[in-house]
Amino acid sequence: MSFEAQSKHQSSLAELDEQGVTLELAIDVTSVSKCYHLYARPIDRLKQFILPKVHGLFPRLARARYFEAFWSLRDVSLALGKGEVLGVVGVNGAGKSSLLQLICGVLQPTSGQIEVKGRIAALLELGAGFNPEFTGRENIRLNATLLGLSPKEIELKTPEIIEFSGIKDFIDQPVKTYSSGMYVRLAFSIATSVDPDILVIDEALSVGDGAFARKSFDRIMKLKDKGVTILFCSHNIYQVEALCQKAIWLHQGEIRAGGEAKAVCQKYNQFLDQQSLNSTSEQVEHSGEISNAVGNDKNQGVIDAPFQAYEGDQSDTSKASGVITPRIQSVKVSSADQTNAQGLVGPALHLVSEQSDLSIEVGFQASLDLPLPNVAVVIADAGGRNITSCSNFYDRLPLLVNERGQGVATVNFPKIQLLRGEYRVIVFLLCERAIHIYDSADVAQLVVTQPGLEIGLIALKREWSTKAP
Amino acid sequence: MSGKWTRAQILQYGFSFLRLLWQLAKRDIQAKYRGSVLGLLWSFITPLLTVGLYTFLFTVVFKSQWGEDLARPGSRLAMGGVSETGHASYALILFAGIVLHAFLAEVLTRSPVVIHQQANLVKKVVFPLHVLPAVTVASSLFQLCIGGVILGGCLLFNGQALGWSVLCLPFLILPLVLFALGAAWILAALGVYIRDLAPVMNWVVMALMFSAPVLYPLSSIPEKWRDWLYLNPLTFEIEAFRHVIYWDQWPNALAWALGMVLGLAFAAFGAWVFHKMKKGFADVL
Repeated sequence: MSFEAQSKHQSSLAELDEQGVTLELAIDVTSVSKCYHLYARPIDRLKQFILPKVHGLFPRLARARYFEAFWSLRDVSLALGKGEVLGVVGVNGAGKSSLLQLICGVLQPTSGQIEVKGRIAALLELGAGFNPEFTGRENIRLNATLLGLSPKEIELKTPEIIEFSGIKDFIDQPVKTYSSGMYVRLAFSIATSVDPDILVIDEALSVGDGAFARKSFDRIMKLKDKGVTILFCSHNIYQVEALCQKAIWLHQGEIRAGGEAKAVCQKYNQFLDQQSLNSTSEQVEHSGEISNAVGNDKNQGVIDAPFQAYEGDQSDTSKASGVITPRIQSVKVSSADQTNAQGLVGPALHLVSEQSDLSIEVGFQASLDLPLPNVAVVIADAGGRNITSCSNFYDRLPLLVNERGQGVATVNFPKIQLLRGEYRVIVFLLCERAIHIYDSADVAQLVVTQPGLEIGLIALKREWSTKAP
Repeated sequence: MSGKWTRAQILQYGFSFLRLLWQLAKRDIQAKYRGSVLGLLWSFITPLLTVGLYTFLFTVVFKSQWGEDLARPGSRLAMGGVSETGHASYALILFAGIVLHAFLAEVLTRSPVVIHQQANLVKKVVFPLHVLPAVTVASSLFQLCIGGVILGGCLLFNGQALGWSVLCLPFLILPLVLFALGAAWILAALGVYIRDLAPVMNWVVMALMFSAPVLYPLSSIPEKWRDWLYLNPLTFEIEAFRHVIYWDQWPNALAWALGMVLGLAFAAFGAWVFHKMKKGFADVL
């Protein structure tokens, strides 16, 4: 089964290639498998080195095996041309990280071949190669040397790296004194300043917080526009679709689907929905992914807060440094018939299906130095599955802001077309391309009731007719 | 490391290896004394204190016991019959051996832990791990050089002239450095799998001290045992080193060449072992 899926994947990739000029390959992975050997004690690993050879001399002895095998990737092939952007999706433990590590050369494949042409900037385990005793400047030199830069090039790039990281004042301190934010900022600046040919991104399209998150996102986009080959691994299917032409879906170490990103993401979405229906345990994992997409831990606490007055975090650190980070300032979720004593009960908003009007008003602070942001609203069910979403970006309504960069976006759902159940409203503030998330808030719980016994989640607009022939 | 590498690539790899080695060794030396008040000065102070200690030991404590032996004509240790400075010279003769032994001892005791101290570099980033044991050798070599400078200074202070043969010293120690490099690679690789290696090495270091003419002259060993001592790589080095410094005698070129061949072979073997063993590092760290 997996083999079929695989050959199908290869042919679909080949089709894509034929459309363009003959592509020069940047990454060529040929039937790679990775098997982890789990050893109880380090000495067992040494025995495994030596004893099989001894056994080879005395075949009559029983073969000893000192490890337990765990296959994290089986027979995975993919080819990525120069300048292409490939998304990798899959649930936790599907082998995504192993694949990225193999391509970066951190891990060696158990079998198969990997060919990579060009300099890789890996945005995984940012800062893992730092020596904590070294100063920031020394770590720049060390990391750049590892990436293959000559002393002259390093000399040339260092000021730019320091500038971009924004930690000039601490650059001559040992990095062990850095906060984790400063750590990843420096690591990101180094990794992306060395003119990479290939960018490997694990999970996040931006690092750090506030203004740096936006800056890092911009840099990644700039590299993409410059034609850098990108390998992007994420749980966030939306971002994969928005960014990648091609995608693969890994499941239990095998490629379930590969080809055009939209098609792959759709299949993967179907699978996720299936999973969340089938078992509750998977549902937990699924909802974990949603909260991943929601991002920004600082807003997680808001879930239980009264929905009406969600105030964005006013004491944002970046505000002190004079740079305004776009953020959500307030969200008001209300219903037109709230006055009917049907509305607010506890932190949940009660609505009647196809009768109540739902209105979501998002007050936001934009930065006047940046292009105008976009607002998106997601309605998810209690298990975290996205039921519906909308954004002014795809609905083509540019937002308005005043001279201080403040604005309000309101979206109305007249006669709410949800059937009975509990839902959550999640609000996002996105960049001008609607990819980068500035801020998000899980703002309200909706409890929808209905007079009838209709089943399902959505009440579609409908017209009945009947006749007696 | 496949055969597909072009010469330019090998050269480039070699250069970046050396650059990295240089940076890391520099930092390794600095890190040793970071936070201490005197900093790098300790590299000079500790050996100087050692010389002082030995001088005291052999001019005051063991004076009666060793004095006659030193002054005896024909003894290889006799210093031109000057018994006044003889005791101090004896201390310096000892120091020459101790400096060389300390070099090897530092490499042998530090190597077994050098990889799992840097587990991050094994598991999380692409890093030429070969460089780590070499850094240990390089930073120990720095200590050896300082020891050599101090020894030279003390000899001049003691009123002894140094001959031209001193120029061969950097080459003389090459076989020892190669041996240390090979040992560092092997120990670093094995140390990942066998954590007991570090305590064992403490014993090995002591055994190396007593099985080489560090604390005694080679001539004090009975003739029939003397050749066995040459199994210890320190023996040839220490003997030749002393002959250069005290008697301005050029080392035996043939013996040195043999040392180089053996040293190169051992270093290459060490690199091979490390390369083979490296594949399993990530499995156990």
